[in-house]
Amino acid sequence: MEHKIYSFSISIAVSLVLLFCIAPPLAAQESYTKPVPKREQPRKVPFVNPDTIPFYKGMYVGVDLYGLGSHILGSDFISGEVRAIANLKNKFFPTIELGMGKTNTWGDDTGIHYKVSPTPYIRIGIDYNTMHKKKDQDNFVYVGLRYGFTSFKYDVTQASFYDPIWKEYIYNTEQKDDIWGGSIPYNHTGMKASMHWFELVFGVKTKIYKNFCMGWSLRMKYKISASIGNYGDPWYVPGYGKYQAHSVGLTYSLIYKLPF
Amino acid sequence: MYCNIYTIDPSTKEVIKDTIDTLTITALETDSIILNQDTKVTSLSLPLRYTKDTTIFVLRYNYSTKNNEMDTLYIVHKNASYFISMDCGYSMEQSITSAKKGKSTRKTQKFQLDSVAIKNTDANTDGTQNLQLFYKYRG
Repeated sequence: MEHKIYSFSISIAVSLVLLFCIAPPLAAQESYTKPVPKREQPRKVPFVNPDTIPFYKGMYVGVDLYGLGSHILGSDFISGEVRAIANLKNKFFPTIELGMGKTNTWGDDTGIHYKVSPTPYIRIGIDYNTMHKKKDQDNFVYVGLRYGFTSFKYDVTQASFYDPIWKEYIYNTEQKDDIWGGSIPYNHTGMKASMHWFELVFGVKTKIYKNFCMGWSLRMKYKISASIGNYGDPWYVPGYGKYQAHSVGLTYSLIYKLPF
Repeated sequence: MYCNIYTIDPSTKEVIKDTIDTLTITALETDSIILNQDTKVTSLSLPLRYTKDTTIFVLRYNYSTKNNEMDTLYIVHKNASYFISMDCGYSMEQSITSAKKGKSTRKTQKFQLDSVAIKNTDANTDGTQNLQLFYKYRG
């Protein structure tokens, strides 16, 4: 009797195992349907019909945080910038950027002091959204062009030292006469300058929360023309960066889409 | 400041390049030797003083034999320090306003500076000619 109970138990267990192992594939075979080739599936349309996009799609205002952040991280320059951007058919974005830039820097071990008081600059231009055909209208990858202008004053002064042993002034340690000795003082404040430039822009922008977006842009800046002081080149140009034929800039912006 | 050395053939009035056999140049008011017994000299690159508006050079032609054969060259110039950048510092911009020669120590010396002409007032070191130094024709 005990043997029969044991044999029965074994047979029940084997049956359960077979049930769980074999039944599901059988069930699956019964519900299997042949997959439809992708080319025959109804196509999802990722693009939007441009005719359905209104000409005026809204207005954005933004603030650049890179100028402040880079200064905190050690840059000699500090700038702040606000911008207004119009959205035309989600394709073109006319932009105006207004900013202030300044610097107050001593050269490392040179005694050169360069100062530009807070000075405004302006850029105007347009961006082109390369993703304007996509249905997703919260992300933007754009290229653009800017024209920039600023007019500013700059001070360059050289620290001089008095030598108590030889009882003479060393006016300029950076420019000593190697043959006759000595140097001449350099102290020019209020030199006037202005500059025109253009920028090629590549950037991305994405929605982060409701009407808030953030984005960054990389800018290649090219000097068009400049008027500078008689006694020296400017070193820092507000809105442009270091005074040279071309320069690279970055922006990191928080942008708010106005509700109208 | 960059100078070339010439002479004028009195018969043809032709300006021809000249060569000084041996030349030593010192700067007045200092013991610096700017050119030390250079041979076959046809051009000169000379510094101008930063802190004063006159630079005087003494040109000695036969320094080793202690013959006192020399000329003096006076340059009057303006100096202006120009700021380039925080990294590069300054450059000295010097503009020559006049140049003249002093008396030669011997009228019989072989090389004798005759006259000086300014060709370009902006002193440079890039080889652009600032002065023409004319020596007496030696035949």
